[in-house]
Amino acid sequence: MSEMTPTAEAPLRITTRISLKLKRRPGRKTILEDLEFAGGSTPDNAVDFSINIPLLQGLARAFYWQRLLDAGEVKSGTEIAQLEGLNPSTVNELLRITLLDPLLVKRILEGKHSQEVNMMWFTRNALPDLWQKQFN
Amino acid sequence: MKPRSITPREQRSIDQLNAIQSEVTALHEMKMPELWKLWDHHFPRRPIHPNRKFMTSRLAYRLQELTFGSLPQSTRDMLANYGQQFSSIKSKTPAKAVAMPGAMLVREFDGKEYRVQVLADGRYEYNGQIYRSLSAIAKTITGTQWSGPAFFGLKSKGLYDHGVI
Repeated sequence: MSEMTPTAEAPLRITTRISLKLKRRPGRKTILEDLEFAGGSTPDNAVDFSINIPLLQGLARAFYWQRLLDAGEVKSGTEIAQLEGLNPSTVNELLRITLLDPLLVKRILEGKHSQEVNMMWFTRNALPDLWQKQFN
Repeated sequence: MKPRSITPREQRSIDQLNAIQSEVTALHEMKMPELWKLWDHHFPRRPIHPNRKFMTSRLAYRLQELTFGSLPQSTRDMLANYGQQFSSIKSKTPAKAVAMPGAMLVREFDGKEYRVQVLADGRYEYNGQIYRSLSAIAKTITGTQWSGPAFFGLKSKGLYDHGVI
């Protein structure tokens, strides 16, 4: 929507109004289209933009490290920590994320996981071995 | 392991859940020689620095994979390839340029802007259609054979430096 108000002194002034909602996601702000205003709805198959980037990167790093371990390219989490310049406990904690229920991994990739599943949770909690007890 | 799709949580039966629970409990009661026997049955190599907690958690994961299905190898590869881009550890597997789900790849070509959305399964959506490779999209756009990752600027310095992620 634009309002044009030409006057004698200021020749032309254009105001553009865009209806948006600001929403806080862990660590970043997200701009969402104001659905009420747009009168539409998001299709089910659309990739949800609530994808949590730190969590995705954490997962990705852990799966890379696990691949190195499985291939025998590195000996241990401690060796990874040395090579990455990280604390051994940071690496070993993050490696545990590879034991997450594959269903939850899929949901994270789809951006459909619940908001309680985030990087902070993994650094503060031990992941239960039983999948059914993970975030249930 | 044969690839199996993952059973949704609500379809995991009480019997399966109980069976897994007792198998996992049994792991914790096993003596080390028994645990090693089970380990060798499921994994090709032993960890260099063995640790009981690590072994039981990996075995528990493995047993659950057998019952409820595992993460597709393609998804594991995608995640690992992506993780490699953030790592300073060199691997025998050469680094592969990957964009992660949710990323929007934007390329200007011939004065027009093209947008490609990366989907959850690692495929791509462009112009309402789903493609397996970026190269196919690059071909649609330019009419000639291109390396998709190169065309969309994933190759030279990695996603991170391009601000895609």
